[in-house]
Amino acid sequence: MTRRPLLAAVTLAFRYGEPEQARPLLQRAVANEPKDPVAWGDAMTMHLHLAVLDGEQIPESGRSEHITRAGVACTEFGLRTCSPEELRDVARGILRDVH
Amino acid sequence: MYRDPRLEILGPCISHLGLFAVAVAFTQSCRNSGDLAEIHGDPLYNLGLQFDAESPANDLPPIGPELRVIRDSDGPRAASLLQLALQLRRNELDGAAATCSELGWRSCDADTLARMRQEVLR
Repeated sequence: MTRRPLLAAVTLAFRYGEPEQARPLLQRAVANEPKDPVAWGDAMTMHLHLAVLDGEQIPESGRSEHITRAGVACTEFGLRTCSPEELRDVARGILRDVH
Repeated sequence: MYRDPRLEILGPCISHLGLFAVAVAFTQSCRNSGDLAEIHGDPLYNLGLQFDAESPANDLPPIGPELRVIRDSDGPRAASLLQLALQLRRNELDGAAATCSELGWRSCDADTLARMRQEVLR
């Protein structure tokens, strides 16, 4: 219930506006540990968006906080493609959609 | 002293009805004052209710207080982002256009808003 407007707002900011404007909402979204599998999936999405904001899709950036957390969420969500490189690839996909 | 046996049934029924009426009044009072969001502990809860409502529901609490909480904690742009998502979801395109402009986005024309609306309807 609380995540749907957040996810919509984040998507709009990334695809049509200024991605950085979504940072406070993303940080709010990941502040609490998820309590169910769907919430873990949403957390993975949010961390991947934060990873894009911090440039973590570039391996040489030296930063990996949100990629790492996305990996934890990915595993909890029940996916198997959760390696840092696979998640950086997903993050690059998010970046390609940025307006 | 004669005790009507019907009172033994009616008495508890009346007291339970009374308790129920108090509970309903309390809940309605909380909704009206926006305290329901406090009960759920998240200002986004009411926004989520509005987001999922098929049409503006008169019995849902207003979202102004929730957006003010977000504005105070996360900044005006975060609140505007949420407001834009809600306006698009509810097909309030004039309001969405104004909010989009407030955010300083490059394209806030009708075609772009229509694509944005499709995005939030997914």
